[in-house]
Amino acid sequence: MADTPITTLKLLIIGESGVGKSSLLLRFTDDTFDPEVAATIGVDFKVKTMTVNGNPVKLAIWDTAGQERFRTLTPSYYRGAQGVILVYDVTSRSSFQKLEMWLGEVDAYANRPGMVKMLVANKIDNKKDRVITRDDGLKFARKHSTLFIECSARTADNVPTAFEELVEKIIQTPGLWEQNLAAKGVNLDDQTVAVEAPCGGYCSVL
Amino acid sequence: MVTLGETDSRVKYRKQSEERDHLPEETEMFEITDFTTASDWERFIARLEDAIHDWKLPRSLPETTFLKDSFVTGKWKECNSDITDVPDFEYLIKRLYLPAAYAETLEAAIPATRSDPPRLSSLSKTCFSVNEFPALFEQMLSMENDFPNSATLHPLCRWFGLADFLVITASPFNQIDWQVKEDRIKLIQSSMVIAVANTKCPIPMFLQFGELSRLMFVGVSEVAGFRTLYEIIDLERVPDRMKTLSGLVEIFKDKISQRAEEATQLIKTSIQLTLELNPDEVDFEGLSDELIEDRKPDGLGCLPFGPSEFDSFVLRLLASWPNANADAIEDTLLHSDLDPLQAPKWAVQLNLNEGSSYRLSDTLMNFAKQVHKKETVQSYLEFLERDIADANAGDQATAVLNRLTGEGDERLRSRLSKALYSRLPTFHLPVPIDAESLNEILAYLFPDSELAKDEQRVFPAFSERSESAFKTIKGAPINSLPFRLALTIQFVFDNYGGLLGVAYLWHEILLELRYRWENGHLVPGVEAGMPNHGSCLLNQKLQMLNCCIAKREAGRVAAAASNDALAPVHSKSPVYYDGVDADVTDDDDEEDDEFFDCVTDDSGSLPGEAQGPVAQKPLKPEGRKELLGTLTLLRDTGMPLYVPITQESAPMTEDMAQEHLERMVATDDDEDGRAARMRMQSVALVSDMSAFKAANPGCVFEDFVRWHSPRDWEVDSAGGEGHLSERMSQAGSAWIEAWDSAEPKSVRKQKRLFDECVEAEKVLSYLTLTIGGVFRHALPMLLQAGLTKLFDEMDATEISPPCEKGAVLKSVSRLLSDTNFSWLEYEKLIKLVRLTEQIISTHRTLESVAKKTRDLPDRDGFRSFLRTMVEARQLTAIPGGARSPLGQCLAAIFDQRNQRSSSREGSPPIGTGMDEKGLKKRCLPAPSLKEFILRTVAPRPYQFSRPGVHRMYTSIRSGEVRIAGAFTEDLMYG
Repeated sequence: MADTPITTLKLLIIGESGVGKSSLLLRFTDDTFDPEVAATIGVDFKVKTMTVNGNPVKLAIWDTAGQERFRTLTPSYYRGAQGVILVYDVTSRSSFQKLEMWLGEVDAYANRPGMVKMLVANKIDNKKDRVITRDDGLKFARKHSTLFIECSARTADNVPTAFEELVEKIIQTPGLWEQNLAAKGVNLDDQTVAVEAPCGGYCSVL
Repeated sequence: MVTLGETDSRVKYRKQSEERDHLPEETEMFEITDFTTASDWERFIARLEDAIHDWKLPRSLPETTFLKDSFVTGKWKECNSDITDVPDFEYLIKRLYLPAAYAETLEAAIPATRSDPPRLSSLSKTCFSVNEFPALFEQMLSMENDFPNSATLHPLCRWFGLADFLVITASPFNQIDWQVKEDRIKLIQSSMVIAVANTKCPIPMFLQFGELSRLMFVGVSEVAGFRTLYEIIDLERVPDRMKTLSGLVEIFKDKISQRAEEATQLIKTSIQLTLELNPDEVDFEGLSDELIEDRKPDGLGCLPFGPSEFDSFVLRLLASWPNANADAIEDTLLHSDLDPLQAPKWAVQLNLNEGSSYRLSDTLMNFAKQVHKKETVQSYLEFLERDIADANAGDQATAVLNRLTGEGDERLRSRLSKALYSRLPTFHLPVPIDAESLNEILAYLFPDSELAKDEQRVFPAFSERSESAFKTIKGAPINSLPFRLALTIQFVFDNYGGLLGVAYLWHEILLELRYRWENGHLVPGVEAGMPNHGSCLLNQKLQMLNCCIAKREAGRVAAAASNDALAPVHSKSPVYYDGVDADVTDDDDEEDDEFFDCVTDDSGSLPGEAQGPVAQKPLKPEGRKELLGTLTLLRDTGMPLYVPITQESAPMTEDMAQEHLERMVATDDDEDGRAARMRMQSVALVSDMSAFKAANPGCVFEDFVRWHSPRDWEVDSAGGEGHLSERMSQAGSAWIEAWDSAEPKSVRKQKRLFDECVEAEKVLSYLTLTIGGVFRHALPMLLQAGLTKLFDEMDATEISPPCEKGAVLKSVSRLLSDTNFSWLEYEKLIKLVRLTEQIISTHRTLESVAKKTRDLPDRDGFRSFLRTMVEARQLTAIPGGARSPLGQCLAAIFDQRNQRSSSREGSPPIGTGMDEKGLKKRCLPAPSLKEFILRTVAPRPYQFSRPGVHRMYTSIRSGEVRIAGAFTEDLMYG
């Protein structure tokens, strides 16, 4: 049972459309990059197990579509997330400017006290078109007390680091996650699938 | 003694070899010790000794004396072992001891206490050389832990002053009914004597016999050539001789077999009298009436607080005489020096009764317990109906029916729902809630009904707490409908026939909800907007219902508007959409009446223009919302690009979202899975595409992307022609697929993403709950209300209660958000609530007692003392006893003449008379408990024996006297 994950963490990736959310995820989970992967429709997810301090931790990472029309779908996905990755594209000023709005969504819908937020600047490989400096990102992150990292899904720079840092931070935050008492199968959301409570299904509803 | 286990086999072996050889050598035989014939009794002794050896008891106890009150403050330790392998001797052995950490060495202790009046131990030491004086005797003589004030302490500690001892109790497996047989007890007792002697066990060993609750023991110890026997007498009738100190001293002397005239030894005594003040036994003038006034049944919209009947606490006044000379105190039946007012030491203690019931905590607990009930609401109602059928009294039924559904009574039910009742089964009573009460309840729940307006009653409301953590509780807004529902369920449960009443209430509520849905009245007091997943499911369901009602009403309004315009076409279709499907209402204008909620950019269609349905023209634009900037279609240049009117995404309650989530999780984590998930979610996208196509005839996918996902339309910096991003231009991608499949259809003609009729029915059928479900869904709000009530009371009191608001909120919020509702945690929470409730109301009662007490010398000082006493609930010494200001206040409180009637019986109050120092005469109640400890060091059994330590503890309460005596014999010179 050594490889039974000690916990399952729910992470969420948000940001404007086309900033590379799905690419970051794909780089992290499959270590591939494909500019032709179709834009996400609605919400998608991937599961990956990683090791933190020698303990396996299962990550359920929810990847959201950035288009405005999809945004009304997403609030229910924020619930129970222990970490949020907020992505912008360094070659797009508008994607950076929209960050405030995204943070607003997080504050409105996320319900875990102490949830960890990470700001990720993507596409830093594209030096030619870069318009948002590292300093801009740092300032924003400081202002909103988030983690900050710059990376590139295309070149894989810093991508694993970003996820690792976030997960480590979550693990270090007391009360943010619960130890898995038993392996309950894939548990992507904190609201597990009808766990038989002592009171007979009482709880799954509450 | 040799251990048995090993030798048994050896002996057998020898015996076998002996038989084989036929010629046994006698020398060998001498080595054999034969245990094979050991009786059970002997084996039992051996097991006892094993236990003592196993625990490695020291040869002698260190010469220490235990610190003052260490019996109460110290942490006792336990070792357990059991004897299971000896038939009929199944016993549990326990060693209970206070670690030496709570003791100080004798040398250190003596100087500190030198100022005391002659110490028995130092006195007795003259008879021993210093090293010889056993620590056990030191414990028996020590006065540091007389009358330990602890309910959990083992009684042997209290009775014999012991800090280290063994107790044997019958194991549950013990089949022999030995408990009543004296010879059996003697048998065990002698086993103990043998075992103690064999092992040189330095601590006493006890046997508990009889019923466990009777606490009967016998014990023995052997140290330094002394054997001490411990015995207990427990009598229901108190002989006169045992009622007074003088009588007890006589008994003590008899036992040591000292004739009175020879009693040269000093007998020391410690005495403690306990006086009790019970709030339910005492009646201060008008106090109980006042308190009862406070506790009148709570009405609708309130939660009760405080004790169910009386506060269950006892205020104990402990008056004690530590270490007095027994012969110097006169305490006979005729006269007693033991007047509590004269006692040198006073202490008070407030004891809360653990088992008593308090109403807020009881309410929360009982409510939560109902969640297990599996019966449906319907089954309760059928029961009601059957009841009536059984009665089978037509006239009666009619009468009842008339009374209820009532011709005479127009105000019977919520007016809003009245129309409905004729269509639904009527319950011909007796219903658990009478009509008037039901009206009141419905008026409380649905204040917008005409009925409520008629009632014109103002119901109590809860005030919102400022604690921000309240928001983390998954409940519903304070005073919202779900909140009031929970309070109402509680109210009905308590006052109107329990579960049956709740079933009936729920039935009424469902009728009301259905009526509102069918007649398009929003449910009042429900948080506006989409279901808030941060609230409880009941709240979300009601929000959902309101979404449906609002949507349908919007549809109706729009339909009515278009009916005006297209009267012949849209004939009375009650539901908007039915009309839509029937015909195509396109007009020549680019605008027409639009899909429900959407805002039309043009101020509506003109009636004249809207007429004349025409055959479908695919290229006729429809469902336009607004221009998309200045963009124009790529192919059909010149045509402006329009944003279509789109369907709103469907509101979802948490359980729906969860279901959706589970469906997604069920897909594979690969490319195929991804495609499946995309298809699953592309309904809304296709709808958008259809609407877009309808609004922009002649458009292409690129146009759509420019509106829907503008960042995927890349325009060269030169400002030249744009093109799709790489990911959007992949042929066969989910987007292109969706685009190809989307037919140009304005939202009006589309299949609805959100069908309010279906959803409303789903909500209503969801709310057809089991009775347990009703409670379960209301529990979060009841907890919210309960905590609000509790915190309000906490703020109103001067004392600082034991519960920390933040922690409580955190625990509740965890309880309600966790998938695993933990009963353990809930019980813990309720326990804390109960304690807080008890402390607050105890303080309140004590305050009013103080208020009612006449001539209280130092009122303010006493009030602050009360506060600390309630907060700490620890034994508090009153320096100066009855003479101190605090002591005088306490005496006044206890003074029976301040109490109107006393249920106390028995001996007349003692301690009357004017103190010579001008202390007011106080008439204290008779002590409920008198305790005496007598101690001496005297030779026994003979005058020439070495003197040993003797100790006798006596407790006298009404209907019981218990004497625990430890008497020592010298074995060397005995």
